[in-house]
Amino acid sequence: MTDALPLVCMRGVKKHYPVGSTVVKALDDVSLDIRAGEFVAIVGPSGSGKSTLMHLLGFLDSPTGGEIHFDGEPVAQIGANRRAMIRAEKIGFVFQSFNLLPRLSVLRNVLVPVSYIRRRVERAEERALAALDRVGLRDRAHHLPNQLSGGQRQRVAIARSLINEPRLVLADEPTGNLDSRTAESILTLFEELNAQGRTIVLVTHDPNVAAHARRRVRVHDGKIVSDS
Amino acid sequence: MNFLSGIRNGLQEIWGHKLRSFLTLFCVMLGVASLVLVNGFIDGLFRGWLASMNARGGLERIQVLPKAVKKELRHLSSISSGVTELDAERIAEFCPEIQSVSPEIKLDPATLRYRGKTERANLYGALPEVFVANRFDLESGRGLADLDQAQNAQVIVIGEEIASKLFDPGEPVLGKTVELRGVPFLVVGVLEKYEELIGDYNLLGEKNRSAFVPLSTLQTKVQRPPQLTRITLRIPSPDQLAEITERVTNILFQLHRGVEDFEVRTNEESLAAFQSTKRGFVLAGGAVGAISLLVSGIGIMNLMLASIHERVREIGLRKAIGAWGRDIFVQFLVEALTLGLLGGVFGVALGIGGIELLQGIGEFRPQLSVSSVGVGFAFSVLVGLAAGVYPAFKASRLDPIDALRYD
Ligand SMILES: Nc1ncnc2c1ncn2[C@@H]1O[C@H](COP(=O)(O)OP(=O)(O)OP(=O)(O)O)[C@@H](O)[C@H]1O
Ligand SMILES: [Mg+2]
Repeated sequence: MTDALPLVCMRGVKKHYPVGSTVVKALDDVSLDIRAGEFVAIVGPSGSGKSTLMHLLGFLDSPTGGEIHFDGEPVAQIGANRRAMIRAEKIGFVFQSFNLLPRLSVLRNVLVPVSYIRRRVERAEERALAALDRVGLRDRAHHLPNQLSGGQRQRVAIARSLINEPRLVLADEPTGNLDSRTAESILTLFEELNAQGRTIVLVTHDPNVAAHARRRVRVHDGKIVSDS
Repeated sequence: MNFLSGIRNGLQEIWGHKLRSFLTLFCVMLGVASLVLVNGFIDGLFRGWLASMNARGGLERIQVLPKAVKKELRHLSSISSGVTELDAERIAEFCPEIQSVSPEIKLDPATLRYRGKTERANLYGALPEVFVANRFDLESGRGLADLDQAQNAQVIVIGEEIASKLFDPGEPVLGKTVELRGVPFLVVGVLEKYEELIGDYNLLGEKNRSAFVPLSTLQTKVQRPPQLTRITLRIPSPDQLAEITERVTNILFQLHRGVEDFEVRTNEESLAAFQSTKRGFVLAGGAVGAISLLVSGIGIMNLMLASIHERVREIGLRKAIGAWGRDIFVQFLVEALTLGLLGGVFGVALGIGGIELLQGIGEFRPQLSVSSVGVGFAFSVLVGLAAGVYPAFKASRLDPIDALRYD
């Protein structure tokens, strides 16, 4: 199941923020391999550095120390435009604060990532509707985000992350606003995606959610304290 | 993201902030409208002037007119015989480069009569050269001939309006006889119709009311005036204007024994006056344009900066899911452009409305032309682009992570 080469490989990664005269160590000396096809949960208390770690995995952010490789390539050496292209084509993000665009309908929100794929995309709308179907929101396709509940918005954000069929899904608290039944169905969705061969990294503080993952990485004060 | 979905996006953002967008659009609209209007005024001025200048023969025309002698020199005036046909002959002799020398006598008042119908005409006794000198072309028939002069022939060439007023539509005009002060004249030619409309006023209307008879006929059979009304000269090119004017003046001083009972008039002064007027207008219009440009630009830029400030998270998200800086730049530039264009459409409409409205009022009417509409649109595009560049650049440089965390 595990490839020889990890999909993402972190070695001694640091993310330090100078705040006044002190330094906030959001991440400190983290080494982590994520292999293709894995389902990993990143757990830890609030402020432990989970979101920071996720942003680094998707190279939205640059580390202040250490090295990150994606698909065997040192991320530091990839130019900004190619990074954006890799993100568009290979990575699906679900952000902690969903970040839907308020003026666009649900359907068009789901379609936003398609416009940043730099080739012709066939049947985009059909695929967006299918993605909405998977999160149970097909009938809301023409609503605006502010006409949806928090949990529904979160599911739209999940549908959006799936539209380009990414190899790696990075989800920050994707079930944070959902009741346990809806959460369960979303987790089943992630399991299905994982079974299709996609790599899933899921950030959560909920042990029940983490239980769905095959591997749990525990973060505390910017350090990995356990990995099983 | 293609251009059209960018425009759609922009329209959505504009619609999303109705009041704010309306205020900005209002600025752009007024700016564009004032530009269209000022441009229309300049066009109207220019066209009207050009038409009347052409009607008066342009810069290639010089006129010799009789002039009252100064009071203190009046006792000398009898030693000169005034402006006569001899002057015309001498000018033609000593300035062979002049294309046509046309001595003319205006008969005033002159009423033409045909079967009980009468019509006032600008009637001239003239030589065949009169048509070239004053830019008349024949619609049908012939002009005046040298033989007509020699024989004091009773023939007449009439303008379009005279023909249409005296004769019924469809009625043949050539070969008919009209009466002038009881003397019969055979119509041998009809002139072309001249039209240069401003609103419904024909700038060239006077030309259509002209009529010409041989100079000798007028002198012998209708009236026997001692003096010419004028001599119209047509020179080959405006470049020679100054030189020929000076020579003609010299010749005339000789012939008139130094008595200044004539005036050599050119259209140069009116050209100079026109040019300085036009310069003033263009300058004023340019200033109006520049201020409107500035005001609309500031409005658009302000709106864009506010919009970007509000949408930092959107920008962050777009960049996170794969947008290039360039995509964000284009997105916001197109939004600014949309604002400019929308303001432009309303502004051009308002400007056209204003021009139409002013057609009914006043004698100096602005003119609706392609160029003023073009200038209006070009202006709105320019203002949208110029005002959008900085905000769009700012947006494109946002760091996705800062933008996502921004609250
Ligand atoms: N721009 C910044 N400047 C200073 N400190 C920062 C900055 N961004 C993050 N941090 C700090 O880094 C630490 C880790 O933040 P992070 O968002 O990764 O936490 P988290 O584990 O995702 O928490 P939560 O579960 O509440 O989302 C926090 O202590 C936070 O204050
Ligand atoms: Mg977090």
